[in-house]
Amino acid sequence: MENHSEKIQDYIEGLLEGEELVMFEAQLVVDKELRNMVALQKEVYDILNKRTPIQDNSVKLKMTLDEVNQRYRDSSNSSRGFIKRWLPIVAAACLLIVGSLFFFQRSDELYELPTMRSEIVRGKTENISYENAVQAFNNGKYEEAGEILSTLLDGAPEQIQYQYYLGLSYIGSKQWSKAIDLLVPIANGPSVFSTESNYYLALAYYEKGDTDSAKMCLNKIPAEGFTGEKADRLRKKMD
Amino acid sequence: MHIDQVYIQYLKDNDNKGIQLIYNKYAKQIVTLIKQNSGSEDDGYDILQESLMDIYHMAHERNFVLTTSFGSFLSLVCKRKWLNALKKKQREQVTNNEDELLYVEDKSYMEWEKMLLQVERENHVMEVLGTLGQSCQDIIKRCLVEKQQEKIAESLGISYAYLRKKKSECMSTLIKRVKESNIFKSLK
Repeated sequence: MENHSEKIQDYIEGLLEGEELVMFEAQLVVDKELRNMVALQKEVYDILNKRTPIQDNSVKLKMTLDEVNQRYRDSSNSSRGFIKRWLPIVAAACLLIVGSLFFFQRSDELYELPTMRSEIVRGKTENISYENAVQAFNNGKYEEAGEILSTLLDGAPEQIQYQYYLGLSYIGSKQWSKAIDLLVPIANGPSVFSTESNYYLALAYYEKGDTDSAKMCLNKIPAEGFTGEKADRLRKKMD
Repeated sequence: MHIDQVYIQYLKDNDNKGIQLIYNKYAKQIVTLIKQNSGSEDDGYDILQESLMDIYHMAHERNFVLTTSFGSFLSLVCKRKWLNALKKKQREQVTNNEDELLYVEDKSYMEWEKMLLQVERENHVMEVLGTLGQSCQDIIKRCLVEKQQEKIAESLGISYAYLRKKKSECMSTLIKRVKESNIFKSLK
């Protein structure tokens, strides 16, 4: 079939004439393979005829597309690069802020004092001074609360409750030594305030720089429960 | 004619700013599409570039008219090209169903499909032409463009008979290589 190639080209290009053309066309009628070859070569010729004249323009368009493509990708990458460059810094800053907030919050949490319980039962106020102390304490006015509680404790030294909240008032007003004096006996005693007293005592020792005593107090606190968790965090902070 | 025909004109005119507009508007969408179908970012940009070239060639058909948005049309051409690339590479299965990937709500789809098949065949012939020796390429191109082969022979310093013989050999090699290629076997 390849021997026919030259003749097929001449036929397609209109160079076959006379008897040669008649014979070729007669052969086409009966020879399917020749018809297919002519069709293929014709198609290739048509494609070449169509594409060749615009090939220079195609090459130019391809160059423009390369250029635009590169420019677009560079700009996309640079904006992404900008994000990539700054993202770790921004993320670190966010982490620092969040971490700081968390840390300070948690740190403040360690110093947070419990709510002082009121003695009012069914609307009846038995001890106005005590209730004034409650109000001052719960509003963060620890010095005011301390003064009231100090008076109450002088009047009823057996009341551990007064002693305990007076000790906490000293913690609130950062009078660490006074707090230690009041909380040591409660921490070592059997009262319901013992566990919490050990915690605030540890805090006072820690603030005074006596971490050994602080840790001894913390070790007396059961691990489970809210106070146990706080004790654990304070221990870690000391480490 | 769709208003987006202007994008076709940008390609035909090799309009740098217009082509930049095409990229700004459609590149991200096409790259995302290819990435969602087992391709990389590089694949996405390659497919976009090749598809724009195909559209340029389709646009040279006298009966080519854009009947839908350029975005939909470009998307269809890219999807089709990417599916063919995947099949050719036989490396991965297409993640989406093929019909779903190629589905487009346009009556011109069949017409475009025929055009795209034709563009593929044209691309292939031109690729094969590029594999011939430089002298063969020059002779074939000059004979097709300049027509007057006697003058071509004279300018090359060879006889007309020699030119014809040489051109015939070059064309035979080209036809043989085109015939052997899968695209003409499978698409014919």
